[in-house]
Amino acid sequence: MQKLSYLFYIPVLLLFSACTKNINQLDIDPKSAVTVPAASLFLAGEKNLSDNTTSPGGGLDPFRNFAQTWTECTYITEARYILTAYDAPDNWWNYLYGAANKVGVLSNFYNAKSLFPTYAGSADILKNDLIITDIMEIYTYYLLVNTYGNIPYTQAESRSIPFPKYDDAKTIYTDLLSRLDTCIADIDTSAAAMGKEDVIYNGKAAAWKKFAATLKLKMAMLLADTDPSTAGKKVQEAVATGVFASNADDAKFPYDGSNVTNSNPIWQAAINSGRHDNCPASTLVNAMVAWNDPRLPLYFTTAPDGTYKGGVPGTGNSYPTLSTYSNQVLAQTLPGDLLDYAETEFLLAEAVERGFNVGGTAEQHYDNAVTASIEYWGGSASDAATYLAQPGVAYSTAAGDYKQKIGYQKWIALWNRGWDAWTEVRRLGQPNINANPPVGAITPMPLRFWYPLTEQSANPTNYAAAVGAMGSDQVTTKLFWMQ
Amino acid sequence: MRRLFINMLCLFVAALLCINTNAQKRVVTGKVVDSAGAPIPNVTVRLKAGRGGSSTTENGTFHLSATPSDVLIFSAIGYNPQEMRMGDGGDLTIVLQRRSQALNEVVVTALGIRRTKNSLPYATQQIGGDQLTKTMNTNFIDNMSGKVAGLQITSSNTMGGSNNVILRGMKSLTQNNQALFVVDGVPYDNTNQSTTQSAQGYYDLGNAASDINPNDIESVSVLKGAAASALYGSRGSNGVILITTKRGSRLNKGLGVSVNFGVNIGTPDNSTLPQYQTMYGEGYGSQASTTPGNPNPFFYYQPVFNSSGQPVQIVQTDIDQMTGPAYDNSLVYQWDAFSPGNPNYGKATPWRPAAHYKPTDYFVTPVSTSTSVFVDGGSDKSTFKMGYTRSNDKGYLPNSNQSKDLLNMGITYNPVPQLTVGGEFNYSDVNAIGRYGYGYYGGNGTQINPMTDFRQWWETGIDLPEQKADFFRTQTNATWNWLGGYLANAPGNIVKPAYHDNPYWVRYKNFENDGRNRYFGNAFVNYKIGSLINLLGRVSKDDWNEIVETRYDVGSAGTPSYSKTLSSYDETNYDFLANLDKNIGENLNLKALLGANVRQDNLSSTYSITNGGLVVPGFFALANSVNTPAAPTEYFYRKEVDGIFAGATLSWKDMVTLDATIRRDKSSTLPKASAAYYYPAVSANWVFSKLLPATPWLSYGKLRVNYAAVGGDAGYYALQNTYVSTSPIDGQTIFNSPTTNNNPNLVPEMNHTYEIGAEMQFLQSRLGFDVTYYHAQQLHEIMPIIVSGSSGFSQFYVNGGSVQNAGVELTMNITPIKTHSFVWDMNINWAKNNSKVLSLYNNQASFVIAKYQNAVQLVAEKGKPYGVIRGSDYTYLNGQIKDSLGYPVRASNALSDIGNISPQWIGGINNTFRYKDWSLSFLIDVKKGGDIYSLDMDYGASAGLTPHTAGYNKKGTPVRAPLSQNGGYLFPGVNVDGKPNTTYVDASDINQGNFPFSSDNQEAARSYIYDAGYVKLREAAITWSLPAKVVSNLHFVKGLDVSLTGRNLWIIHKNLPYADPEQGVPSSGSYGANASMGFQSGSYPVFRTFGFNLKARF
Repeated sequence: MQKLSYLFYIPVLLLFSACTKNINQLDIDPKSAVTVPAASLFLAGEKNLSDNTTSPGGGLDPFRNFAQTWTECTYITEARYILTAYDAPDNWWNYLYGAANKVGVLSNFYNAKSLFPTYAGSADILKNDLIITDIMEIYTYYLLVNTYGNIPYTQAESRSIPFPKYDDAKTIYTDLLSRLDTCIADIDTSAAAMGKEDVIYNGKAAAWKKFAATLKLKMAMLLADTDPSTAGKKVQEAVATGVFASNADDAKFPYDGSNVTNSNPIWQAAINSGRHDNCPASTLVNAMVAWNDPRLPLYFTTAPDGTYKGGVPGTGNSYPTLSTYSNQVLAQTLPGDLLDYAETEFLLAEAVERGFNVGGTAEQHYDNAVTASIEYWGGSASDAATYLAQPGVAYSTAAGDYKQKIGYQKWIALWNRGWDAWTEVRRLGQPNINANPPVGAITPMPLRFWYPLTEQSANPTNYAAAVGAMGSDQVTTKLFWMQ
Repeated sequence: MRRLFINMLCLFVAALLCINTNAQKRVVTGKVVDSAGAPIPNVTVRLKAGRGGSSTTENGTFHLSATPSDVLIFSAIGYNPQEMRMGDGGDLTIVLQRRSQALNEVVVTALGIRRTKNSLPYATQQIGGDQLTKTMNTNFIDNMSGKVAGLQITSSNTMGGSNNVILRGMKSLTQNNQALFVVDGVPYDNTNQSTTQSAQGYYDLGNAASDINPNDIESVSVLKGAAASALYGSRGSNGVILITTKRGSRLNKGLGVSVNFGVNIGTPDNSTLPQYQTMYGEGYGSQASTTPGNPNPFFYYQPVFNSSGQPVQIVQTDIDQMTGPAYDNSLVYQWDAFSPGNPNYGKATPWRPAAHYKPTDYFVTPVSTSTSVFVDGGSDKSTFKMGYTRSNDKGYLPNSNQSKDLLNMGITYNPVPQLTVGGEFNYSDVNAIGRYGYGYYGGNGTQINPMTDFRQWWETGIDLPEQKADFFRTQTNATWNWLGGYLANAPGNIVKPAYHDNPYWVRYKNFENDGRNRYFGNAFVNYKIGSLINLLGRVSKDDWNEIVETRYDVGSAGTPSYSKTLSSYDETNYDFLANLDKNIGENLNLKALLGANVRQDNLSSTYSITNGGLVVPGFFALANSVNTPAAPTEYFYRKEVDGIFAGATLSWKDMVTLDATIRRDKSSTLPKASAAYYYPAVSANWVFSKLLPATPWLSYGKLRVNYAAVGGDAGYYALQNTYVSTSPIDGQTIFNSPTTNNNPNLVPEMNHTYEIGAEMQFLQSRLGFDVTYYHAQQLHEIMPIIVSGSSGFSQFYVNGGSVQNAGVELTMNITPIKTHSFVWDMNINWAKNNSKVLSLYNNQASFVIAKYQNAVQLVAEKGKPYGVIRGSDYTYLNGQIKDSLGYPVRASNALSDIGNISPQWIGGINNTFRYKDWSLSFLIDVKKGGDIYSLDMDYGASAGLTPHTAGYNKKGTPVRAPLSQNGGYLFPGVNVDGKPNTTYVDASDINQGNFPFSSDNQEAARSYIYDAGYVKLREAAITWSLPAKVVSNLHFVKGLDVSLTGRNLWIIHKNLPYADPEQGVPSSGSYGANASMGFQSGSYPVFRTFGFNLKARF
């Protein structure tokens, strides 16, 4: 029986044999990748940028509501400029900087840049890859700096600074423009770049150069009121480089519809969720109806009563009694649109009016722009001609100054690109949203977002400094290019 | 795993073969009574020499077989132990003297070491298993509420729902603050799997500790402070709930069999259910005004399918707010006019509240039953126990049910006197359908939490029995929330719901189900070397597998789906313990301890979901996906901690005890260079009453003091950044950057605690108290801090932040009345914890813990108690809200400090009255203070549901009448000049922006912060025991108790309207580990439960 006591050694042996020799090896996550192809991160940034600018989702992208191309049907908050309800200023910031799960933009571009050297096939490919990524980064900062004003830039995305300081908006903007110049100068159109991982241009350097020049044109024009000489110089340089010349140049992000997240965010919000939080705004629909716009059936359906009828901004709107979106707008595979030919021509028309030397007349560019928009949405050249022949639309006879003429048509063309539509309304003042404010609006139309509430609690020192530099942190606080 | 089972099974067989009885022994019977002659139940009767024993029944009787020379020892909680030689027999009557409460009571401490309470140098509170089964509850954790000082338990009030178990306040800013559960010396996983996500949101799957069989619990020791739990390492830093299960008893004649049966039914506590204004119904103000000729712009005015082209008045059925037309009995088309087969199909009906629109019309009566059998027995060389419990909970939501099968087995066998081998095996099988969803998920056709609807987006015009009848008749989603298309509607043509599905469709078509199998067991060998040294080796295994399936059928508002999550967890502990117990001289005793522990755990899960909808309605399989499903989401977490520890206890004359322990852990989750860390603890204990002359008033007095440092490791995979893939687009791979910046330079965190306490008993223990002051600092906590998003990350993993918790715990026992046949005992628990955030990473002033809807945050602020609630506030003048044009003036800053979740104190009073064979007890549970933000009330106000958004103003006119008709709402407050506000504001038409209620409109979130304190009558029980005289005449029954019990009987006081202030969302989930306590959304009501319990021993 005494021998039984040796039983005791079993668990002791087990204990010592159980110890893992190098237990730190256990902390390597077997289900997550430590390194990945650089271009897969670039694609993530590209896709998330398209998702975020295309999204109509409450709490991210209320800009269509601000510009009154869309409005809310029920749960009226953002149409009344109540931003606390869905936290859009927090989300837009976090998504674009890349601090939110699977929707981040800048963090993916920064990581792609650091990994490209490992994956690029040759030095010239690597160079182009880095430039293309830089162009997308500049695009993203352009959105951020013109949404908030002063933002973290020099200390942002450092991988090591948890609470970056804010930089002056105008200084950032100047730097972005000069970086864009470098990109345009350095991109090698004779060399290859990443391939199909760039689903917008398949890595064609020439296409990216055109994109960069067009972005430069757009960014320069933002300065036209406050710094016309810089604006004029940059606009002319951009045109000399070569900007978009047809709809074939458009920067479209193709959604393949292979699953929910690879589908257009409008489809995700309106069809997949089964919700119907939004409807076309009467402001836009009425303007289009007044001019017999051929894009009406391309954008919208008719209401049950056979007419085109939008919802009134700031009130509740009965979805089933109103126009809704056309099948192509609600399609799972509707591409995202980051930059297009129609807006290029509108910018050129405006450049002519401002006395910049870009060639052509304002009217030619205006006509090209409207035609490009109609064709973009599936209309014909003759539809466009008929439309442009109307006295209310024709550039020579349309009402108002160039800002009004161009502003109204550009607003119609940009109707589904909320942030751009809002920015042109902010810049050109057309249409004048504050003349007929939404019912129940708590402020005038926002000129910017206030800073994320998370910044106030998590980055309080730098936040306070930024507010001091901006003067205040209200939606009515003006950005550097606003007069 | 399998090998372990086989080993354990072998041990079982071996033990069963060895059960025999010794012919020399004979049976004694006897009775144990107190000095007043009243029987004392649960007295442990054991043989002084050798092993074996029994315990007394409820009537104080016991049976035992022993030889005439054996000495029996009788011990019981609260009584002096007594020895008696068995002698020649006859029935024994033993009188035990009641003594200083808990003086020589044996308390189970860390690692299962039993010590007399006398010698304990730290605060520990023990609850007997009978206390936890007094009222039948399939989750014993609920039954601990109010019984332990400093223990705060919040429940989710859902079927099989989860609990928060917090001891001495929140120590960690971000990590789990839940106490560790240990069963018979082995840690028991209490992961809350409620984070399991489906496309439709979150289900409350409950805590895994609720798998423990309440009927198998002998006692629960609560180790509150670090010194008590230091031997458990960092896992014990939040305190330990130490569960000791029942043991088999030796030398019993035959088998001891006890049977429990309990049944509970519940009824809702109406004070925790929403109330509605009943003057206005569904609609969004005048939004229907666009139709020309509309007589009432609060109704649609359109032709419908049977009105021959004539417009009729229709309720705004696509709206889910009660900001519509006044109920005026006019004839209008309501939702039921469009539901084919409904008696009102195609008819206009009077506009008035429905007969049955309340949650209580939706709930069904919850019934729980539990049956358990417990058998124990043994021989001179072995013991065994077997227990089986079957319980069933039918929930109060339609189509919800949870069943549990719990099986427990345990054996010990002594082949030779020095050696004991044994093992335990527990199996549980928990299956549920229709668990309750939690959190917001209410408004988008995915209302897995119906309370979100009832509290935030609801109509009093909905007749629930009609909804039920329409669903069952048509088996379609015949919702009240029709999108419209009133003209197109025809029989069989169901139009899509706007947002909300039919509430019965939700429960019967879109239900969830889950199942969890769990094995928990150990095998041990205990070897005594001489009389001094005891060696214990043990291998234990905790292993569970879980499946969760969610459904969203074709016909629901959103895209149909089916998802399946498979999870599994296993934890293996290898333990080695050497104990030395030596008397040095006459007065000195040394107990020493040396041990090692290796813990390995793995948690993995695989989540798959259909893509793009379901092809065949009602068929739930991944293969029924419209598009090819994406690759499943996989997780695999693993961890190992290797620990060694040592301890020594020196006692002098049973009067002074000195204790020291040290443990070293090496954790796989820390960087190699800092993977090992130490935690020392020292404590002392002085029974000073031994020095004092015996006085009638002072029975006992003790002082204790201790200090401990507890180290802590990091969460899984916090050292290295990794990328996350999403589905390829256009055939191209996508990887996304991480949002948490991990940190290869983490060092262990440290918790330093000191504690002093005193315990005194007076007047022969009729009055006594135990008071503890503790002070704990959690330093350089390892945590993912929320950083500026501009860093490219949402969080950085860092060592940062220090939190201090200091407080007082008091327990008191009072026996106000004690006569021969009547005893009144009171037990009081009281605890006050003051937390303070000492510092935050990078000298930040504040740190975001969680973000809620309506821009409300939970924040840690330097210098303030843990858990500041931030949100919009007002501006004030002399303490009153400032008004301008009748509207309250909001602070320009979007974020102000508007509350704090930390309670001022918590406590409980338990009263027990015993009269002969009857006993009555009740427990009052109190929480004082602590704030809560109610999204329910805020959204409920924005939707016009809550009573304060309607009713009459001081002018006697409805608040929602236009100002021109003397209507309007008067906000309390003062004008800029300090005079009371007299300007009414228009609340007549939300569509025109005239509706000031809620922080989405003109109010601030401050208006929806409430005091979360309460006073509750938590439980009450009346028990009748079969009188001893009767028992002694029966041959087969040794005891019989019958109880009537009640739980959550009465919320005596609370300040939060229409909800239970205690209710929170699960301890982990969408709002983060610690966020649940200050936030309510879709909160479930309290159900009063009434039960019948039968306990019998044979």
